[in-house]
Amino acid sequence: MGVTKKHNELLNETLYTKVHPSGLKIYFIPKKDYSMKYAFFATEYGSIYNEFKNVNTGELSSMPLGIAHFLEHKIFEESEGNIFEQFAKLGANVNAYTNFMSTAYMFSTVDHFYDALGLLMNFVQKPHLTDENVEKEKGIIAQEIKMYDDNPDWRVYFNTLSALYNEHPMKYDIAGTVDSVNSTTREDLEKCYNTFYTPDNMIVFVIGDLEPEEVFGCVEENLTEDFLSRKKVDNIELPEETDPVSQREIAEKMDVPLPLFNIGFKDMDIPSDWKKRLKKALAIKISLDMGFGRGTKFYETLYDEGLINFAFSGDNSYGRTFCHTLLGGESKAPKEVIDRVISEIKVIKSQGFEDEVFNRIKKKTIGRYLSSFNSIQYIANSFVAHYMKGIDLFEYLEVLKEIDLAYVETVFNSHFDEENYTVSIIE
Amino acid sequence: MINGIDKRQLSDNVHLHLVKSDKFKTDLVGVYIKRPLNEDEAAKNALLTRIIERATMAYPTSKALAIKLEELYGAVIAADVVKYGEKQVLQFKVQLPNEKLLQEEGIFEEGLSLLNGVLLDPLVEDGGFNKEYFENEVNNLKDEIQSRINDKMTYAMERCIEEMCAEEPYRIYQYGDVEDLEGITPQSLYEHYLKVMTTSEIEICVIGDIDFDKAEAQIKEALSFEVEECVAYPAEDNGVRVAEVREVEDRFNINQGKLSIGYRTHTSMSDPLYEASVVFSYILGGGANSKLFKNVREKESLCYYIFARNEKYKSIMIVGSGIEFENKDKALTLIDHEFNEMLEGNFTDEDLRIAKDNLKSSLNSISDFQNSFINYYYSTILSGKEFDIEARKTAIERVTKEEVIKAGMRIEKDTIHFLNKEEA
Repeated sequence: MGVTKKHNELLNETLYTKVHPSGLKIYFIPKKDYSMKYAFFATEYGSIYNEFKNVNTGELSSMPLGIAHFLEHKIFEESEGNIFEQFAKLGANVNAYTNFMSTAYMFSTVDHFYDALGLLMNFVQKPHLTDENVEKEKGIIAQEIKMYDDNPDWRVYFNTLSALYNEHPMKYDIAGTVDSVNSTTREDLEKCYNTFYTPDNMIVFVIGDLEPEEVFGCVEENLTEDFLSRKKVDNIELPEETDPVSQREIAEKMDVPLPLFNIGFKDMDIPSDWKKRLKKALAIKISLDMGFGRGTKFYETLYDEGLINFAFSGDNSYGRTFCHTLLGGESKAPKEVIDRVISEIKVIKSQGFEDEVFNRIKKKTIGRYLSSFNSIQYIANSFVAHYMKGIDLFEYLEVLKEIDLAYVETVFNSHFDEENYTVSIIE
Repeated sequence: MINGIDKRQLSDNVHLHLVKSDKFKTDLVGVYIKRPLNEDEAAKNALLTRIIERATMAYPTSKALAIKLEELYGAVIAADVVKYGEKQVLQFKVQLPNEKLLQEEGIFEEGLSLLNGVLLDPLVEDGGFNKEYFENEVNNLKDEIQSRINDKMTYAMERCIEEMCAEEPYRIYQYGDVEDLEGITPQSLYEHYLKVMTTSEIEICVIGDIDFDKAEAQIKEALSFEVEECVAYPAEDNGVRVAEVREVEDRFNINQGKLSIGYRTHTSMSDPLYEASVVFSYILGGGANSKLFKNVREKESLCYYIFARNEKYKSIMIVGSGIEFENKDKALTLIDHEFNEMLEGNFTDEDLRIAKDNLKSSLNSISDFQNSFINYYYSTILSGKEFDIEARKTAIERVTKEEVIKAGMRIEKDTIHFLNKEEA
């Protein structure tokens, strides 16, 4: 199978792609003169994949919340030896994360890259689950959940999502609850592993001062027969999500000196074409800078009145099945800030944005995208995160070029619905 | 890879460090202004960084400055104070997308001119900073200091250090205390600003795809500091002996207890055993292969996170972990046990090898990150050592098992801090 090569002029970076006959996608970006190298092995299987249906048999599976994350913990278990130690022996650091849409295993190293890559490939392809080691993990995950329960930034964020969504599993914490974790069994974990850790559902991403042939060769040599024999035959089942938010307001009491708040907007109009999806998300991000960024009268006024501080910001988040924007920060008067945000949305809708501001923010967006390619760690994270949304990070600038002011205004007008939003407050 | 480094003296107490590396997409300039860490200045210095980055004479509102940064392709200016042992360093950075890549000239120079505005020509009215901005930032800093408790993991460790170093300047929080902000006026802060700019050691570091002579000329033009006599910088006392182990508790409405143990290592950065003490804490609690992680987390399922960390300028080691409230004594026993195992030499040659390889590999990777690189570079200036990564790696490589044990034998437990839940 051939390797395809794509060069981006502005970035001065090249992306190599190879699709293995099994469906496994392998990506590589060479980064000359960098000491560190990163490799990711990731599956498109995250916390929102709790219900799935076998396309052949029609069998429906419903799993305890947080199982993708539980599985991530258990992949590190080996029948002999300790994975962390094996990576450490190579001078490599191994880690993993689970989010809504994916589970990723990665390592970074300066030396012994290919040994470490072989190790990564192998431990992810071969889990070692026993009733005993599944039980043992429950205490550790319970402490992880409790750690996040004491984190007000995390709470205000997940409360917003739980109030935004009616049925979509975005409304649940990624790690689930202490109860759902305790109810998880070895059989559940095995089933999810066999369903989603298949070559056609996974990718390998490598970045560093390396040669493409060796990278692809090393990945392919380390594919096990057992792994190659698996095929994804289940599809995620998502309940119908209706348009109105689930709850208009959600509040939680914590010991915080200054209240934390979020205002959330949900958008059920998600383009199925990936370029359109990226275009829409970029337009929303641009409109956030134009409407509420540090260069706006809105920001200046609220800041000078002491209603917001530098923590105030907004961001859009999206995937194949969801899209929402959260604006938030800290304020002594969160409700006042939210009222002002809503009024500002109405003002923007009636007056529109200025051309000059649009051009400036577009420049900023280009500069920030370019700057982000300084860090190989960031590129690796960003590339994989975009892949899981079905987006090619290298096409970012091409899509950005297609966006004009009229499009930004259209997207803004439909995305920010001043009658349909959620407010989350921690105080 | 770094293509070259050059050091140039700009005036008494002001040095320029030029680092050429063509692999990055941006150029980064960092200005480091060194002050002693003390109660009188800590809050003032923190406030100062926040005030002067708000507006300049040329861009007299925060909005105008923000718009200018957006026009410069999203350039970033960041100002903050950082605690290095018992020094407090005001840091100002400007990051600019590289001109060659954008095929547009003047970006670097405009960035420097913004930095000049922030540092040497901030918005001043009637012999003081703008009154509205001043009040705004005093309130914001108060909120920021009080919001420390939001990050319980860091807060717990800092509380441990505060209690442990109650009689030393190191106890001072990097942004000072809320009470210290009382009584500062826009005028008195401006006077303090003038003092800081004229009595501090200043280091300027530039990293990017730059030409040394051209960059030097541009920096000289934009950043002409006039430092007279420098303030005194008292050295850290790294010999404090522990009379008895103290136990302290704070209570909050929380779900997880945070255990922090503070130790005195009695091994400063200039001590021949310094590298051995770093290796000691790495084997004990540096990452997922450490003794603490393997035993307290993996074997006993007591926690999600546990680590040991060195405060390198103050000869302190902290062990931190998040646990169930009722497991405090159990965790303490397990941590003591692993600590004693280290002293008894119950770690393998492989543990030693792994620690050394990992510490060397972190040194190697510093040059992959512009900001980490200049911060690390600055830290070597602070410690009075030559910037020589190879020498540091050799020193780590030479550490023997005996030295690790010897460094460990010096370590004294000082303070146990526990963040507990509120009493029912």
